[in-house]
Amino acid sequence: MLVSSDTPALSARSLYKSYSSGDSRMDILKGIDLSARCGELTLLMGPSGSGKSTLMAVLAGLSRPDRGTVSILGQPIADLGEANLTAVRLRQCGFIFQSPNLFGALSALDQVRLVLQLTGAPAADIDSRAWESLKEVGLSDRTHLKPSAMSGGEKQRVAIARALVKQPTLLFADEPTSALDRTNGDLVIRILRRIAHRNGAAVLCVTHDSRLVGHADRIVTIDDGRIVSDERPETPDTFHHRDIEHAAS
Amino acid sequence: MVSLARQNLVHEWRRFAAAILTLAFSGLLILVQVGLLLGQLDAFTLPLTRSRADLWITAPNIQSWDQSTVVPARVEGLFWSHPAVLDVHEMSLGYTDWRTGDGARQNVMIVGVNIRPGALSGLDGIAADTLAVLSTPETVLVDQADAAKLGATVGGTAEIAGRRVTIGGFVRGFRSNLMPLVFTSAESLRRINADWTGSGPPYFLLKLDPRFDVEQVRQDLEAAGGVQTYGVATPEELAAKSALFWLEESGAGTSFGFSMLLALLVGVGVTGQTLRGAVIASLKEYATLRALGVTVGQLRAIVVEQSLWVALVGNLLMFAIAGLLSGLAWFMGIPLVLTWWLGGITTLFVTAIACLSGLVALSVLYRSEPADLLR
Repeated sequence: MLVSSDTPALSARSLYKSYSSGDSRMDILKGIDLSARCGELTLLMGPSGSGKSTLMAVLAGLSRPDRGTVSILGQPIADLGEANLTAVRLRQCGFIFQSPNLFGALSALDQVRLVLQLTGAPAADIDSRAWESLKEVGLSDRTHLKPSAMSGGEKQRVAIARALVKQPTLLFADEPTSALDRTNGDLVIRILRRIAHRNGAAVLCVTHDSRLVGHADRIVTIDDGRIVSDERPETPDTFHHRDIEHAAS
Repeated sequence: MVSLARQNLVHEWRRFAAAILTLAFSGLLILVQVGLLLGQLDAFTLPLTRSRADLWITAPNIQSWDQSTVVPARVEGLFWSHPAVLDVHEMSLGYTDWRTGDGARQNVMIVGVNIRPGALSGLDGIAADTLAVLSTPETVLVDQADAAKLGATVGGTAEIAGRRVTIGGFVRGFRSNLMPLVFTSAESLRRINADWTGSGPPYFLLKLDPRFDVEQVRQDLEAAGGVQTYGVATPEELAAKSALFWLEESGAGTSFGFSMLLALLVGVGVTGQTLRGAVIASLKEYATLRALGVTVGQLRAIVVEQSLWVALVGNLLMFAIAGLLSGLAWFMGIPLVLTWWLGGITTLFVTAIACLSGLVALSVLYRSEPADLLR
């Protein structure tokens, strides 16, 4: 990543968003200001219904706010048309969701190659980049498997490799560990942390999984559509520094 | 190169097999429905469309080819005097009754066939050696499919309009949907039905020099005789006019149209749902790709490729089954006409259903925000 860690990768000002169903209107985001720097793993925490997933969707350009602005690497995305917004996501953003959303028909390697192929990577690089990405999440010996032959943790790691392979500046993860057991959940958050630290990406992770707290550089807590706290844990847990490949094996 | 479309087809073959089958059968339903209708229309105009004439001269202002009564015999000279006309032959047919010794009684259409050698000799679909049988006076040919109905056996006899005839043989593919066709030579027919030879035959058939424009000759001949004396038409025009008349008169057009509409609706409905299901099942995966920056156009291309493969296999299956059914129909003497244009239109239709249902299913993806699909 060429972006220095002082540049805000993402900044949001006075975000408002509401949903209406029938006659009732629900305000989900009630004036959120937030910025995220490259090289940090930020957790967005809060109880169910606090608006954290909606916030992530708005920050990532997957949903438009009613009011307020979002800028990705200094570029406001509010006025971008659908095609330009897609292009920004293509260049800058990676996504991981609670469910891995993998195509049942494709092997792990093909899941990753498909993204490269569709996003216009040079054909000569596709195989090596896909391999590299799967190796990074500790799946170099599982590349030929289809989702039906993989465990939940392995599938989630393929999803991470797929998000990672574009080398995004911003990586959004929505409840990436909530469907995983402790070991796999641990593994996934370590990978996310490493992506932030080693690749210099801004990683935003929405979670209500308290196991992840010890791994974060910054924890933003949301309740009722507002940010209620924004803290940086002072002493990171020492086992964050363990080698991820070691943990994967 | 990863082809998601093809790998999906292999992986979810059960789902796609269902789509392929419904596509093939809805296409088949249309092919067979229209084929049967064309077969009915063809069966109705058999002696007309199997003749080797370039122009038919009929009584004026007829609505259906079989309604011609008399063309004045004196006008034959007019035709001969046109430089384009190579051959002229009078032709007769009529409705009469048929009886056999065992008491079978049936209305038939008797058709006088020209057996003299020349360009207008015989009918397409009757072999030369079969035709030669008619050179024996008072001999007739009937379609094999009508044999039971007519109580006809080769060498057997029957009575037509009070005269005894011998069944000289059978033909195939001449089963009319109006009433059985009985073929005899023009000369025999003249003897059987003496009263038709009064002021002229019901038809003259013309063979033209291929270097002349048929339409021009038609206009020349119309002008020469005056439209009140006789009508001039190509077999295709006369067949089309007769087909329309028959469709309106018999009500067959409405019922065929209705059942074809039903076939269309069932086909579109069932196939659409099956293919839609295949896309909907992967909607979250497509939405994830879209979040990662894959454009809607690229996703559409994947779905269209998938639909085209399904349509290709569906079409091949449709034609294979249509081929079998066509053979079966021929064997059973059922008039079923499958033309290339019908096959072409049905193929386009089947392919369009496949592509449209895929694209409509995918449209959920761009009618909603990506975030809504990824909750």
